[in-house]
Amino acid sequence: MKPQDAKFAPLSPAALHIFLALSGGELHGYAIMQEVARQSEGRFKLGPGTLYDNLQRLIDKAMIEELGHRPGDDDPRRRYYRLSSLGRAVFSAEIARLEGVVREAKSRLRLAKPRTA
Amino acid sequence: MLRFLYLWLVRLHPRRFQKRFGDEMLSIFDEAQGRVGAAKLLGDGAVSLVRQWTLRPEFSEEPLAAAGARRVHDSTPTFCIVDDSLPCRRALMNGTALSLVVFSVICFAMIYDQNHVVLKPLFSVAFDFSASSLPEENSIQPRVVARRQFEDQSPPQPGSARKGPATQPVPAPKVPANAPGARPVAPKRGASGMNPAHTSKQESRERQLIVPPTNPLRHGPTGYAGTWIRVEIPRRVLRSYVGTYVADAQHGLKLSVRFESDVLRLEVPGEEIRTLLPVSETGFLVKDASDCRVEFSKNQDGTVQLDFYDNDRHLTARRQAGGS
Repeated sequence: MKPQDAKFAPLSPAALHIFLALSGGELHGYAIMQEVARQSEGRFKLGPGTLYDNLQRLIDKAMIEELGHRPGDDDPRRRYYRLSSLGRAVFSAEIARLEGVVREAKSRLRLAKPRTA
Repeated sequence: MLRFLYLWLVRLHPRRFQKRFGDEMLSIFDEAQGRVGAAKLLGDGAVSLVRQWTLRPEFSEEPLAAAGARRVHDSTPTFCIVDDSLPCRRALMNGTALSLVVFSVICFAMIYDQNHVVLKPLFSVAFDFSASSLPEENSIQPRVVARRQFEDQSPPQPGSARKGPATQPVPAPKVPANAPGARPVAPKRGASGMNPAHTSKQESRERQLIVPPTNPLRHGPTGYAGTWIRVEIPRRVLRSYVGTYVADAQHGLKLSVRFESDVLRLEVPGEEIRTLLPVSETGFLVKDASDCRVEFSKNQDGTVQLDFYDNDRHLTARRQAGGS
């Protein structure tokens, strides 16, 4: 993990889910909301206010790029977003950090679990 | 209707946020299914509105364009002011909220003070109002000689006024009935028996007596003009008022005076128990009541009389034999 990527860690839960949703490709706002709900099995839902608040901050930090609307789309008001290279690097760093946390937690839980004869 | 409300919620967002994401938010609202979904989006919109104005002030304004000095061919220097001297919106909103809270607290305190009598204990000073006791020249201090007289049981000596700061508290002067200084309260009723004419030095030290220049108690039922000072009265004196009092004029109505937790309490049948706060040895104000007071006095036949004044009501009762 590069030092410049580490300064953005840890990501907030909303930002993490947005990164996860955009990691599969370009999406518009409503699609991001639906993808987040699907990936979390309904346990985490983003409202438009929270979504665009996070998008605003992530765009300003150059981790997400705004692509504008696509011609031929049903709704011309829709705008598409994608992860920038910095965003991908930060997302990868965050996943690596979380993997380390999960690994550490599992080893400790294994130690704390009483051995059965 | 819900869409109209959501539209206005979006329009109330900061201009920059509204320009960037307003259309998309409306697009999402249009795709929301059912009234429940739309209502949830309304709530989310309200939260977003508050968040954008309070927590994201850095995004509410467009970023300043790079200030470049205009090239002027005559080489006159030009300057661009980048810093905005106006306070940020968050500071203004926080200041408004804080001002409203402080204003509300002050208003509540003023209303509470109007509705409740707040008596503050102050230090006591004995004043000498007899014509023969003239102050020394150039003396602006209270006549502490009166206090000395009370302590030493000796008449005041000319020029014996002790010089000192006028604000020193006077510890427990005695008040003999024939003292040229402070007058005992309500002497015309023959209350000499109730005045602690000869008290021990220890009791006199414990006691603080303030004698006002005139006795407003004589001004009538509503005569409590001015500021009253609560005084400390010896328990022995307070206990001397305990007993059952009968108001003959009110068909034998019985009033009860008890001594509880170092204060006197008056019970009138059918009414709440009143706590009496002493303002003199025989005069008491009723706690948390405006224009309500009690005055004790001794009749010529030796019985103790209670006068209860409550606004326009006046009860006179005599203590039954056997009272302490």
